[in-house]
Amino acid sequence: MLASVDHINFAGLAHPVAFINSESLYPYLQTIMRDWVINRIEPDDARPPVITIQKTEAGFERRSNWLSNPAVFSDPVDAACDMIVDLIHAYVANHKDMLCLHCAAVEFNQGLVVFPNAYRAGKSTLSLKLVESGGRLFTDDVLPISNQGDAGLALGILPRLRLPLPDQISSNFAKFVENRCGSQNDRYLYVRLDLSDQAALGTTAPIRGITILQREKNAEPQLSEIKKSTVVKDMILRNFARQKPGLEIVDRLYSIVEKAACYRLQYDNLEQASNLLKEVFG
Amino acid sequence: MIPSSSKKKKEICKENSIYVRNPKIAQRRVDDSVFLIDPDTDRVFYLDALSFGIWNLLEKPIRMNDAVNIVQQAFPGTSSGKIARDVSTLMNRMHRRHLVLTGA
Repeated sequence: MLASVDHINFAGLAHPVAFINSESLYPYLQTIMRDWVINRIEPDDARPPVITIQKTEAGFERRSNWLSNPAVFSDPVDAACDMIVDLIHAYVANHKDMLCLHCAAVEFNQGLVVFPNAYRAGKSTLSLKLVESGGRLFTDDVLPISNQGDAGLALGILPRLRLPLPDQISSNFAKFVENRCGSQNDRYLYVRLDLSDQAALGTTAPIRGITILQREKNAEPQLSEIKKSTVVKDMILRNFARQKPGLEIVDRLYSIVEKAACYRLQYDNLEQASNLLKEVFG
Repeated sequence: MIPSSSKKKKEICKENSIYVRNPKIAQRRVDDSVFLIDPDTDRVFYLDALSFGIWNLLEKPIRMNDAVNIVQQAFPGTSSGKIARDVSTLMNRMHRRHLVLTGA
């Protein structure tokens, strides 16, 4: 059987992605990467694919510059989801002046607030809860930092929740998610937010707050100021764009942290967290 | 003798050796913490309070045993053996990471 090979261009990336017998992934990628212009192009020797994904008996097998070994996923949602990690690496590689933080970010009345990633702290679920409460999502996972004014930049990629959803979520929030169900499998659910709930690709906003999440069972809800050094240290760990000199990265991160209100949010459930954040950031 | 860097991974710092900051290393102070940046590798190191104290001592060339004595004066209630071990561990670690240079 002849292999079907497509070179797919993701607008904003310098190189295309080669899909070999993998066109069944297109609908997932087109939905999840909500604002990205994705189109088929003619193969061009000057622009070789930076990622190759091929349907094999084992599943969708992906190779890229950012993988030491091929990644294989039998489930198309998992395959698309993991491929987005590589697409973000490609995006960062094409935007050498940007920093890129592993974090969630939500815009409040007071401005953009960043939630650096912490293991199982629930940043995606909290981000969506904040959207349900009136905030605008910039990202639930990755935030590029523009070299112009160190503003956060929205990537227009739908947020993803881990399933099952926590037991204690309110019925309103459950309904909010239910009404926006996108691609999903037994582990993950993408949430289809529209432009009023999630900033469009390329939208920028200055970072006004940084909040380190600390979710603990039965914890007293508390939002407390923390030392800038703690936040700088955390942000250094969350930045995965390392194309600029280390000193410049530290200086830029410090400059961002210096201008932001920095807190640690200790919480047990989403309602507590959302109420405290709205009190401070509007 | 002019201090020089060493690439031997497990070299043990000697008490009579002289140590000094690697002049290439950049530092940034935030609150009471310090970040060191190696421009050759772009690695960033975070110094806790004790490491920062040692880093301050290393502004000028200093022998290991002199550094131990100074730290001992700051923590008179801590056993000299523990302080010597802690200082030695820190100096070794900084040396392995090329943050400090050493000479005999």
